[in-house]
Amino acid sequence: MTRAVAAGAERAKGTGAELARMLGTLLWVVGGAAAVLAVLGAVPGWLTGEAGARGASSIAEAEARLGARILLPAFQPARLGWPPTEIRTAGGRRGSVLVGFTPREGAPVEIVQACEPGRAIDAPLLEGRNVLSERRTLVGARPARLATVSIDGAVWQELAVDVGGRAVLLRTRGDVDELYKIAHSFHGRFDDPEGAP
Amino acid sequence: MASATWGELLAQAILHALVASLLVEALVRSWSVREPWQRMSLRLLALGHPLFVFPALVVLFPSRGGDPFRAHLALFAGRGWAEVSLLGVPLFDLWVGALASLGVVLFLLDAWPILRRRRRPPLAAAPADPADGARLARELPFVAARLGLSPPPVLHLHREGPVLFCTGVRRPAVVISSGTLALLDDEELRAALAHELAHVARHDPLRSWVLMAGRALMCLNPAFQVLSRAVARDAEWLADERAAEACGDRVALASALLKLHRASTRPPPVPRTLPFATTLAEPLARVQSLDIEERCRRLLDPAPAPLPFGRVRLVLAGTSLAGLLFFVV
Repeated sequence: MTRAVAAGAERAKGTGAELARMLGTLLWVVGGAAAVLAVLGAVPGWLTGEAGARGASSIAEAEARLGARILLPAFQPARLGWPPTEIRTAGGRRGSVLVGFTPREGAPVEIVQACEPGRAIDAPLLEGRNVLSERRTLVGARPARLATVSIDGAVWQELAVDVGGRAVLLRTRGDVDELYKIAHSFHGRFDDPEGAP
Repeated sequence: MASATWGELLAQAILHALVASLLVEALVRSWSVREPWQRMSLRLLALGHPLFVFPALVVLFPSRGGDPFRAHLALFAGRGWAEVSLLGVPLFDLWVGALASLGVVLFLLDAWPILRRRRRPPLAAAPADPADGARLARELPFVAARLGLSPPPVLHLHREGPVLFCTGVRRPAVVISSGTLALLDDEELRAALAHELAHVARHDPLRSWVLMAGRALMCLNPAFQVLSRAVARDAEWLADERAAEACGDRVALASALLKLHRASTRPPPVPRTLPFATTLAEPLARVQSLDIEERCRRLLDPAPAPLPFGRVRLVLAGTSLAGLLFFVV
């Protein structure tokens, strides 16, 4: 009887060890595969330098790169013209974008935005920016912030607004009223009592 | 919200088959799976993924094709490689194109001989010599009985070269040449016939056509092509094991394999005159020799025992594979 119990215990021990070996190996193999896939998935970001900003030749190219629609205002002063003179993206998929207009006459305007609600604008698009002063303001009934910033030595007026949860910065080196008009016109989103699109 | 395009779906199918086959191979090696049926089951699991599981994932979880999934949940997103270019061509397009071309080449390597063979006239069977006929009449029913089969018809060919295979989907038959009968002694003939009858017992001719149809469907998928070859090799090993079990002589089967292989790979009597005529033939012949060598080694060892928890391993491997590949888009 004792021998039978000992043999049974030995068998159970062997079974347990085999089960543990099987599961351990499976975890090791699947975990390794997941790690390799994750690294391979991250490589394009490293190669293209998601850490920095990349230029794009068109809005369509930037949208394809970001995998998101870029918010454009309904009102755009005629003096700015189209297409934008500068488009830069950062942060990879669902990152951020800067759309710049440098007209032949008058002050330049830039629209910087995050492409995902709740996400901050990626740092490469804010490089060289120092806030000199900042105050709260309203765009319609919506809270906003108006700041004076220095970017690479040049002074800009910057209006920070929230469009459907997405952080948007409007900058100009000229008329601040123009920024408010542009901010108002983001496809009527600011007039929507629910706010977010 | 951009959804997956056909090109992306093709890339995903290729990638899924690649990951599935590598993962299963890793499991086969790290679990030390030696029993051919268990090896084949695991490989069939990987083979079934691009055919059944991947389409199910695409249909049942369309959100996997969307940007939020790619950005936040996916372990690997193939579309990310579209942002990296080499000489102005996105790497995504390059690797999809290269892998799809490789898949077509691998498929044609096996499909082309079949297509060429179908143009030839059917095999001209002739009655065997009385002595050969007597040997076959003695060995075939014995082996068939050991495998629980009724003896299939035999097509005898008057050829010096070694020919021995089974054919026919609905009415299987064994094809054998007088060269084979002259080459093998009685034990070896019994073992070789047992190998062919083991194929018949498992309906391998039908299975091989089903596999070929799958390969045609997945002709752009190189991993699927390679894995199919591995499954076909497993089917040979499985037939070896069944044959060795039925005739009780593993060494005789190994000896028969070697003799038939040597006789079939003698250099052609007329040397080829084109400079690169043997470029592809030689490596393929070498691969075939290595395969025969491996089969003989296995036959010289005792029959491999199946690992415990075979079904549990299969279920765990399948679940892990589906779970992992859910996050590969």
